[in-house]
Amino acid sequence: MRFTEVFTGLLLLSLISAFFLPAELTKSARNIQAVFYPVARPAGAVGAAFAKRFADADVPDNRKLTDIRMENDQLRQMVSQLTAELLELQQLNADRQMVGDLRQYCTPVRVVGTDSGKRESLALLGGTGQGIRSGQPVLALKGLVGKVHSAGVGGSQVMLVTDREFRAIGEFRRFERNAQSGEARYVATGATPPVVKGAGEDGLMTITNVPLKETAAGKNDMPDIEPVKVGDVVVLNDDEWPYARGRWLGHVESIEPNRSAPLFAQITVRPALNLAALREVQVMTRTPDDAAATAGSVLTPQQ
Amino acid sequence: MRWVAYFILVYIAIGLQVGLQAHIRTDGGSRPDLILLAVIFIALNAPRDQALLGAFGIGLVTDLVTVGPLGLYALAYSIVGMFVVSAQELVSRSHPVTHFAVGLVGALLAGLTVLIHGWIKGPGTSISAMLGSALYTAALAPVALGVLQLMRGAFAFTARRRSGSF
Repeated sequence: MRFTEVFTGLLLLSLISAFFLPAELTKSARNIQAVFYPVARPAGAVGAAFAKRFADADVPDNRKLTDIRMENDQLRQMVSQLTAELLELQQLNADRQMVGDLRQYCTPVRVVGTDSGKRESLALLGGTGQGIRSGQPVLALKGLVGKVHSAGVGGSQVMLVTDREFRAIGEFRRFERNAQSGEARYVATGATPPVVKGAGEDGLMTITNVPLKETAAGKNDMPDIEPVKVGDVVVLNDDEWPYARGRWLGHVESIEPNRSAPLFAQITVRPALNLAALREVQVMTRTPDDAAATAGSVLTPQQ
Repeated sequence: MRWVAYFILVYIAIGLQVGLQAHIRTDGGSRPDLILLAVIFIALNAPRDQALLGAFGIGLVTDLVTVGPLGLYALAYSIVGMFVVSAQELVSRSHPVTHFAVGLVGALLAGLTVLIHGWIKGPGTSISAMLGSALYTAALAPVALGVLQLMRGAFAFTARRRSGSF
């Protein structure tokens, strides 16, 4: 067989695989991320060193130092209060409730690097040997990183929340302090559950289903609803992610009228941390249901 | 062509791309395609058959480390390989302007393939990011390809045979 015919056949196979075959068919055969770790890791360290030296500072925090200290004190009090409430509920309820950090259900995994193409993903050093499976939530210090896209013996790939294929329902929240009582709390803002979508290459997320009138950029004629403002936190609140509910997705960076649908807002959300530069993530390889099955009692997903 | 040197080049190129990409991308999301530069180097210097097979192989390995579909970069880089192979006889392989031009056109071809795939099958990609990435890759091409050209002896490329168009 001549080379031209062989090459034409290979091209046709690539075309069929890329444009016609469902991606799920080829997921299991594609995990060799760990192979590139010896090169990717040192290269990433060098890149990070240069980036740190020449890049701008992180997202500026313009708050006064006294305000930050006061907020920290309020948060400590809130954590203490919530912990006490949680202990009280546990005593009242016969069934065991999920306690502590989700970290107990997670496996820490080293990051090899980012996507080799134009997508927003992370290559992980761990694979099926560490209990990693497709669809598992991936967490980091401040919130949700994404979900496992594919896992194999040679590594796994995580689709980031900023990838264009990512979709999840969230909730807007704002940390507020009552001026009179000094009590601190997280309040929900807006009314319509936002559908958070990854924006792709620029490492952001967008929300386009929230009416403009529910935001500070619109005419707020809904007095019972706190309008969404720049700086509000976007947290995960999706039934498809029951155990990662409440995890941070990011902060509202801008709110503008949607050009193609003027009654709706174009909300840009910036992730809470630089996802592409993570060195380690926590993959939720177990769920409270798995733990309960092992322990012999019933647990419910986090509300 | 020495295939051991080829595989080492592929390994290093993909490792660098995976490790460095997060730190060298611009705020607008443009990122250079270091793997494409390896494809161009092979396609510029190797005989036609080996160049095309090499380009396809690099694309296939790239597909294994991305969340995109298997075969997309195999197709994209094969198209780039075909273009560069057809231009082998017309260009000066070691001139920086050649490197820039071939890098730019190659990145645009690869980006266009990914863009078309995004339009047809989703998710879509940004045209501006694609153009930015092409320029970024082209800007790095004279440096990267210049260095690789100095090491072409390790690949033992054989003399090119005149062949019909693909």
